[in-house]
Amino acid sequence: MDKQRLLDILVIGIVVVYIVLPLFVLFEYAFAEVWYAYQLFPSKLGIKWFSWVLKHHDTRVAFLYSYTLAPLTMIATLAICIPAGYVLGTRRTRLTAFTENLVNLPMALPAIVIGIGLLPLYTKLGLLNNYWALLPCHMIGAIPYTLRSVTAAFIQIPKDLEDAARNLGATRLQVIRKIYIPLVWRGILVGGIFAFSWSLNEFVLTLLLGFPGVKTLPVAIYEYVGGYYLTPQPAAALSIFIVIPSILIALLLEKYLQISLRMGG
Amino acid sequence: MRLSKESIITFLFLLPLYIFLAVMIGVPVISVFAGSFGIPVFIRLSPEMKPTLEGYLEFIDPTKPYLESLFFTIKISAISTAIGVLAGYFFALYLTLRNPPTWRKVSPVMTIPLFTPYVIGAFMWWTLLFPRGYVAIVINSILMGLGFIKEPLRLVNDPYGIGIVFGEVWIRFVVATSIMYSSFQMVRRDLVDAARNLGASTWHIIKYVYFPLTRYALIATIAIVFLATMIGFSIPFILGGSWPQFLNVMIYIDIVKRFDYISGYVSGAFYLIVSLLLGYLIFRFMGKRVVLQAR
Repeated sequence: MDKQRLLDILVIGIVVVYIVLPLFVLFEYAFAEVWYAYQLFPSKLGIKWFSWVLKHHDTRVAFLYSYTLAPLTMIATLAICIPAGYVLGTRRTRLTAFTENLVNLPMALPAIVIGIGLLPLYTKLGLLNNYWALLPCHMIGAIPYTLRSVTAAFIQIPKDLEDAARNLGATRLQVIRKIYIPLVWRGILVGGIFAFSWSLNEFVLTLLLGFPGVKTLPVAIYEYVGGYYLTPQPAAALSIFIVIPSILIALLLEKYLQISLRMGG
Repeated sequence: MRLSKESIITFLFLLPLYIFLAVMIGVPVISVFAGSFGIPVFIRLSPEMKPTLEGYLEFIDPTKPYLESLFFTIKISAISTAIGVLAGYFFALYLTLRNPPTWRKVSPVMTIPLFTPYVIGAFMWWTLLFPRGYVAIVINSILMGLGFIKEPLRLVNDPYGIGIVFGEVWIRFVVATSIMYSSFQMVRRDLVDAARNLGASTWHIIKYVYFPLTRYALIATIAIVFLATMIGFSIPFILGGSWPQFLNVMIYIDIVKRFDYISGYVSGAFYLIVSLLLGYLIFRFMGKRVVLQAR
């Protein structure tokens, strides 16, 4: 083996270990049934902590909340982003340029500040600890990414297609339904998946505006790790239920939709 | 002035988005700025809320915790940004120059920090950094073996923000690598080949081709990473110590635990101003990056 190849393996090996090590430890904790303080590794592995967390009513409800809010967020986000993405992707006006900049705003604003800013409105309307009121909160962070994905899909469609269809008498809705949707579904799907993934991971606004009435999985995990006492095993077991779908989503996006997050690959 | 049908339709298609942004972004921004002056919006959250500059005076009072918290936030964000961006820059450069075949097989691992929720990322680092964690054992063994320390260092929930830096760098390194890698790919290959044909060494190519052509991308990456670190909540919330605290953790404590709304809103207003300034820088330099490198 030549020196350059050895160097490649060494550098890449260090990076891979650095990235994967935290995940490895998460799995260790999740599956560790017996792990003495003086031992480096668990002495017995099993699924005790998974059944332990699933036995708790609170955790089961957190599952329900997380995995129902995520698809709802996806649908609601797409409902806003598809018409907006159509306009932003097919027209270049000052209004669309302004809108693109405006939409990026939530990415630059701290979620905690948005949360405390929404507090008076939510208090006034009696929306604190309300499941449905969390839906727009989950959409705040999802919209910039979803809209970008949907807009990019619309941009790639030649304008001539719409013009030809309109000249032949198609209505605007027919153009969207019969020309655009079949051609942009991939971008819409990717945008939807981003929204789903964002909602699944949303923590700050749920903690501030939904907790303790509505507890999603990230908030339930926080309860195990951020409270006065720390119980890493159940936190790790619960984390697996979010980390695995999140990583699967990333890999699926890459494999089937060619949304490459890879570098150098 | 009569609006054309096209303009009306454009506006109508964008209207749901505008309404959403007005309610979910516009209202909070107004509430935070108004609340920082003690002016209640929609509802008086506490009886103390009346028009005042007291919150701002308290914020800049060196005997109060806010300035220390602000400096701590900036310091830790700057350290995390420096480490994350430097490591990401050189790793992306390495991938560009070497294009190692091994990397193609393992590159999907880079998606792990990007798709891992911050709260879980923070927890994973907690398990590595607490006294029995692998990273803590290795670091403390090395430092004690070299005689630098007599007792094991506290690497998480510590007053120096070491745990926060570890947690942040894990995520920001990947972000910086991905942005810089795409920027290096935009550098015209013929420039590199021409430099090589004229006898330039790899170091000269980095110094005179890659670095100047990616400088705006580098500035934008620094701004993105710094902003993301500074506004991040979960990592300092879980890995930070009891004091000093990140400003956004202070906001959470002020609002949720101390019910001191004015102080929370003043800190929030500071955050908003800094975030918007950095956001402006990012968009400005990201635009320049594309223009410069496309030339």
